[in-house]
Amino acid sequence: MGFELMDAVLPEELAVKPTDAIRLSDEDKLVYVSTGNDD
Amino acid sequence: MDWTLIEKSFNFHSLPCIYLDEKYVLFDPHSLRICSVDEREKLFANNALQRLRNFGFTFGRKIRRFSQKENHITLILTTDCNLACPYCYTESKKQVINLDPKIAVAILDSQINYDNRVFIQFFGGEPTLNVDCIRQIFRHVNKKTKNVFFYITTNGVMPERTLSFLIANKFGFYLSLDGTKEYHNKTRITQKGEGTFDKVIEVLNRILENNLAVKIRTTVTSENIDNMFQFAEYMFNLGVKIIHFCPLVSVGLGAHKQKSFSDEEFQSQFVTELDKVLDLARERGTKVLTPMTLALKKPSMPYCKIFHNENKILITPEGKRTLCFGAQGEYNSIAQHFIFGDFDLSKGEFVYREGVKERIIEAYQENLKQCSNCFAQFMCQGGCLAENLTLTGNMGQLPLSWCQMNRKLCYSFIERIYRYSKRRVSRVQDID
Repeated sequence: MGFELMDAVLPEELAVKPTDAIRLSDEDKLVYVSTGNDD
Repeated sequence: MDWTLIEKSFNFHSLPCIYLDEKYVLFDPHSLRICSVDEREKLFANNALQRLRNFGFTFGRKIRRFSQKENHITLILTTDCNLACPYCYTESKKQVINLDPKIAVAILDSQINYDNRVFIQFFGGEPTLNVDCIRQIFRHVNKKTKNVFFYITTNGVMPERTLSFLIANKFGFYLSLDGTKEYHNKTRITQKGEGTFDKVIEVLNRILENNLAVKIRTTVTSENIDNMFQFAEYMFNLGVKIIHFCPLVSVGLGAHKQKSFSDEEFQSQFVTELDKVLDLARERGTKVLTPMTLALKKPSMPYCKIFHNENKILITPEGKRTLCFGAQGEYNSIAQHFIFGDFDLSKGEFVYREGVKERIIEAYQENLKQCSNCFAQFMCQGGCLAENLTLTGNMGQLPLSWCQMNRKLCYSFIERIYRYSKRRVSRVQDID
C-alpha cells in the first residue's frame, strides 16, 4: 500500500507530560510540574 | 511558513495528517505512531484503517481523566495584586477579595480524600498577598496528610519572610518572567510603574539554589517576542529547566490591546522564535512548553484541564467554584458563564447553579463541530472559551485567529517530531 509506518519519538525538549512528576535533587520528594493552561 | 502546506493538511479520523516533503504524514499524538504515504487516497483504501490500527494507531476520541487517586485543588487566594501588568486577564483590582482561611479549610476538607495524593496550588491575583491563608492551609493539610505537594503561581514580588517560608517548606514555583531586564520591565511593573526584574531574578536564584521545582511562565506579546531566544538562553544559563511560553490571551485587560494571536505577522514570528528556542532547549537538555504541546501522548481533551473531572477543582476568593481562572469574582464580566457553585459553610458542601456547566459542555461540542475537518483538532483542543467570548461574543465560536495560530504551531510540532523520529526510529514497516 506504500505506507511507511514508524514509532514516533518525542524530542526531549517537548517530552514533558501533564501531571508529570519529576524527581529533583531531594530524592525523597516527588514534585509536580503541571504543563497545563491553568497557570 | 508555507500556508499551502497547511492547506493540504487534513483531519483523518480526528488525527492530524500534514503534507510534508511531498508526502502525507499521519501522526497519532496519543499512541505516538507515524505513517507516511505519498498519495492521500491511499489512506482511504480498503483495509487501510485496519492496518493502521494493527500498527497501534488509536482512532476515536477519549477524554483523559486524572487518576482517581489524586486530588488537585487550586485556591485563588486573592484578587489583589502588587503589580500592574497591562495585559492582566483576571481584571484583578476591580474589587479586592481575599479568601477566608476558615472557608478555605472547610472547602478542602469537603473536597479532598486525604487518602489520595494531594496537590494544592495557590493562585491569585498575587497569592503571597494573602500569606496568612497560605500558612493556615499548609498547617491544616499537613496534619491531615503527608502525601501533599504545594505549589504557587507568583509574580515573585514578595517579602523575604514569605519567600523563606515557601522555600523552607519546599513549595514548587510557577514564576512569571517576561524577558530579559529591558523587556520584562516593560510589562511586569509595580503600581508605581517600576520594573520588577531584579527582584524576581533574586527570588529565582534563591529557588534554584534550594533545588526546588520551578517553571518559568512567559506571556508573549508584540512587546517581547523579539526577546524569546535571548531570554531562554539567559534562563537556561541560570539553571532553569522548564519555560512555558504562552502567547497573550485576549481576555481581561489584555483583550484587543496588543498584537498577539490575531496578528498574522505575530503568529509567524512566534512559530519561528519558538522553533529556535526548541533547538536551544534540545542542545541544553531543557524543556519548552506551549499550550499546543500539552496534547502529546494523551487523547484529545478540552483546552482547559479544569473541565476534565471532579479531581481538579478551582476555588475563587469568595469560596465559589469557577471553571475559568479569569472568572475570579462576580465582578468579572464573564463570571456568569463560569462561576457555578456556592459553598454552604453550615452544610460543608457546594450548592451548584443550574445549567452553567451544561452550557460549557455544549459550547465545547459546538467548537468541535467547527473543527471536524481541521488537522489541528486533536492538538488544539478546542480553544479557550473565555477568549471565544471576548473575541466572538460566543463561547462556542472559535475566533479565526486562534485557528490560524494553532494550525501553524501544530504543523510545526508534527514536522519537528517527524524529522526527529526519522533519525531515531526504532521500528519501521513498509507495507506495499
